[in-house]
Amino acid sequence: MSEPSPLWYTTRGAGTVTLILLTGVVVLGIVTSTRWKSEDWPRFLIAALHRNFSLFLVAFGLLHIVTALFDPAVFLGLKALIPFASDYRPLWLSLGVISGDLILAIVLTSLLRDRLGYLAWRIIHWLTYASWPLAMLHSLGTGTDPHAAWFLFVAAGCAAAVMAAIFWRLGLGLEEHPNLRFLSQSVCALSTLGLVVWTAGGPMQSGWARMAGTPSTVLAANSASNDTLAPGVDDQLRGSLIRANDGTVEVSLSDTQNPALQLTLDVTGSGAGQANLTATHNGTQICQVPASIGNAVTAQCGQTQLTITLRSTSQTSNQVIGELITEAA
Amino acid sequence: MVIADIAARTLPRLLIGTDGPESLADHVGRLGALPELRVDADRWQLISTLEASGLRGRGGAGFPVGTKWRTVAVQAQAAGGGVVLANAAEGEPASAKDRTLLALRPHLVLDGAVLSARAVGASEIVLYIGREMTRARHAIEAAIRERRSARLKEPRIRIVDAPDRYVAGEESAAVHRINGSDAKPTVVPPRPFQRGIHGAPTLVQNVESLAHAALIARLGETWFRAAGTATSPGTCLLTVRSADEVRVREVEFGTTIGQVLAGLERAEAPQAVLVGGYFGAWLPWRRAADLPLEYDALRAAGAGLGCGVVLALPRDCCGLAEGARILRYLADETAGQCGPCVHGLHAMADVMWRVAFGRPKGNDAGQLRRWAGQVAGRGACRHPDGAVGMVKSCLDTFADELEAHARHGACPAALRAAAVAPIPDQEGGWR
Amino acid sequence: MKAVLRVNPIKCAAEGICAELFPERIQLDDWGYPIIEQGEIPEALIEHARQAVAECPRLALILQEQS
Repeated sequence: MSEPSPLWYTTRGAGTVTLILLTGVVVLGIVTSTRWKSEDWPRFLIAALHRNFSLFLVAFGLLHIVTALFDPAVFLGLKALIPFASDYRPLWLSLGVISGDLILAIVLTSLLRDRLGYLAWRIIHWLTYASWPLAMLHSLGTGTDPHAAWFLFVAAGCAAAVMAAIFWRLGLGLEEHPNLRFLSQSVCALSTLGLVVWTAGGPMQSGWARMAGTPSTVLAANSASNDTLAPGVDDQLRGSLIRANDGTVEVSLSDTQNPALQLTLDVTGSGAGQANLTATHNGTQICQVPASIGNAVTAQCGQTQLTITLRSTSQTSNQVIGELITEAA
Repeated sequence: MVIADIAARTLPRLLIGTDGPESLADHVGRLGALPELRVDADRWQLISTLEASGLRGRGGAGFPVGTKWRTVAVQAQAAGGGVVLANAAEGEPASAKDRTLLALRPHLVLDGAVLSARAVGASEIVLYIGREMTRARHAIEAAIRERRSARLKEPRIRIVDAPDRYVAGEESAAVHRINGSDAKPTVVPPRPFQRGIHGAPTLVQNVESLAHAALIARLGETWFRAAGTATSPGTCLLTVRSADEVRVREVEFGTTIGQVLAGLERAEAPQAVLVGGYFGAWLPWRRAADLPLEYDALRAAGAGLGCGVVLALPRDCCGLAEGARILRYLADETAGQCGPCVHGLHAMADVMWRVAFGRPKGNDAGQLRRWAGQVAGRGACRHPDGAVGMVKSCLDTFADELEAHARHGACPAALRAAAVAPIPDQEGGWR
Repeated sequence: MKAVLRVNPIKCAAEGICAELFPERIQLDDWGYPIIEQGEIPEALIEHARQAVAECPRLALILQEQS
């Protein structure tokens, strides 16, 4: 099991901060376009904040990109800057690349606005509306933290902020066209809902990493460093017991609280009380070790001691339920 | 009438008595050939002659023609070329003098254009003519063909349409249109004399001014000064209007407004006169009747020659109603580019409408004057300035009527009488 | 060093940031458009003028500086 490098943590952190900053930039930009102001928030302040956020955005964005490209665990290399050319989750990564390119274009044109003229600058600035969803989908699709509560909280907050700002902006801008306003605000609300649904059914599901195109070497390494079989697990198991003709018994179990984790027990019958335990995570094998069957099934996987207790649900069916407890070996 | 006659008699100088356009043969027969300006000295001599003549522009600004030609000549020399823009857009609905001049004496105008091109060193002449002026257009196109057939060695004259919009004749708008865009004013500097058509120094001159210049070139500044007054020499074309009549007349400077209006069919004296155009000023009759048409006298009275419109308001009409209609028209005719003009004129037009046709509120006049102060000078062109000038003079001239409206609501004249000042339907684009 | 502040009325879109940053010389009319006091800008206020010019989203302000 390899320890994730500091670069990996940095890129996840920087990426998340970039997403938050981009959200801030977009929301401030939308507020600027409504010409809203108050006693405490004059327009020049909102405009200056918007600009400062975007500069921080560039800084954290660059940090995120550089650390991601050169993380030894998934060495993406500069090749990844070409859309669809990376080995790692090409589609989802590319969304980030494109988002980054758009942001770069927007920042450059803003710095050169004096020479470009207002109209050219304004047209390119509209691309911000594309860069944010691309960044959001990128972070949900590429990120390795879609299960983590903290990340979901951040992502939800960002999505809520942008969607609320757009909703408000549409309300102000289309005051005199109620039909168009209703239509566009509905599209806004529905796409927020769509994002939630897609997240729940996609990135948050087990198997996403493989489906999204994570190379198998990485999957194995990640699973190994995954804390699924870390000490302290106390999950309910559910599965089935199959008796084969040659007397072998196979028990297939999945962790109800962590469906990515599958445990298979092969009881050969030759040696009493001996079995083979295979643990897989998202289809990739974590370990295959001998297990002893007594009152419970015990095995050692890496540095973790597993204890599995099982019972049948009923006399007639082959369904079994059980409990998995892990502790440090 | 030949050149000797013209030299001897004062009037008419520009307009001739017949209905149709004067042919090239008649024109040359009357005036002789156009001076050639073969050497540089001739160019500068002509410019000096124009300066000495005291001829001022007839497009509305009244800028000295000689000075303008000299400025463009210097710029064109430095830039290596220039363009002449003969301005016959005549976007002012009340004015008909330019189209009349073109329809009757196209060759005099073309003479002036060619002379100005030679004087300032321009290689190109553009005639910018109102899209809907069919009679004038036919006359000028025929005249250009005549000159080509006669193989006169003159620069090519190109015709460009001016859209039927009030500001289309503004000099930067004209240049903008000819450069391929909308006929909307642009921010100056640079002004056309510095950088105009295709970036070259451009002389923008009203066609009546060019016609006068064409005569001065042949007959000299002393002849020109034989008419008019010392400070306002020569003659000018006026569009004289009342309720049912429109006449284009040529008068000497110094003629009083009362004399100008004599000969209109209505026997009764008007109650007031609008002088200059829709960007001009209203004057009560007691003030206008004996007011001579002279630059200084007009300015002292708070008015100006403008584009030569003299509109007499009959006694059975309401001045506030006319002013309100004109202001509404001017508000709708902004180019829509400058906030203070667009918002200001529309806000003023709404209040003025209420003043004329509804019931003015106590502070309406004050509000109009306040906005007038806010709006003037804050546009890219002088359109808002002209509009607010017209409104202020309207409120001053018809102060009694304003009070009556405030007390009793709109007067019967306002509600009943048909418009005296022509308000065209707005259609068409900016090209 | 003489400095005069002008607004390009065609580019101006009544964003209003200039009046926030340079209220000493810029007021807004009834419709949010800047009314700039005519005349030179004293040395002490030049920085505010420059800031207003820099922050105008439409690049509509011009500071003409002649030495």
